[in-house]
Amino acid sequence: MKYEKPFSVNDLISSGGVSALFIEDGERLITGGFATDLLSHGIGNAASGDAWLTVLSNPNIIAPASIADVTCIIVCDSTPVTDALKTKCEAMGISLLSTEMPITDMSVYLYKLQAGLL
Amino acid sequence: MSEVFKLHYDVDGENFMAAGAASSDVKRVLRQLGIDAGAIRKAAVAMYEGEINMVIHAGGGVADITVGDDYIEIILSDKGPGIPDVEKAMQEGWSTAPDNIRALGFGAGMGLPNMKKYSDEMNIDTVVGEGTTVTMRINF
Repeated sequence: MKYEKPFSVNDLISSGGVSALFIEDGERLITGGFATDLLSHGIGNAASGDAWLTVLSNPNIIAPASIADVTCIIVCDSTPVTDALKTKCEAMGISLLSTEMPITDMSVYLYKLQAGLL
Repeated sequence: MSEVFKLHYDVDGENFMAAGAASSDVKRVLRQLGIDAGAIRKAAVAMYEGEINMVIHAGGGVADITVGDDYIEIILSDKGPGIPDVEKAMQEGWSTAPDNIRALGFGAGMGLPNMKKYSDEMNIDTVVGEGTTVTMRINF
């Protein structure tokens, strides 16, 4: 979904809901969110500026995330993040965040953040 | 119409970690050429799906991209097993990818549908046991 009041990656980090693993551009806005663990689903439907919520933690997500031009990837549900994923995010310039929240909770959290409800 | 730019990539069928690298590079080059952003996304998505299909199903292949005055043509050729039933392969959700590939996030059965969705013209020339050539054109 598209957010009525986009917020920056730094705003999200400051809110406390996520951990920053790599930040390419902290001021870039998150203008929407899309949740999927299927790469073709993500590349075909995530919009430029979205946060991509997933429990995938292998580096193969980076190419579709880059092509879709998402603002960041949020690895949810305490999924362990590999060094290979972090390294590829740095190489491709995609911000990488993680959270203990399951995808559904993170989706609600992002909605509340953009609505000023947190 | 004069052709203005050509790109060629050898897609490695053994390296899953590099899958999508050629598509990402095409996106970078198209940006440098100042191509319309919407056309870049369409071309990059369509090529990504074709590139991944070559890696998963065909042991790699080659990709040739031509950028014309008002179009991008992507030709993906492999010497893989071919597609026995193209109509079935075009159905969203249909996939023959093995479980270990699906665990990586591939094999959603959305690759060919995405290629058709994001290209303005698409042709599949496939012979079982010989290989597949997919030609896609994006107009801008």
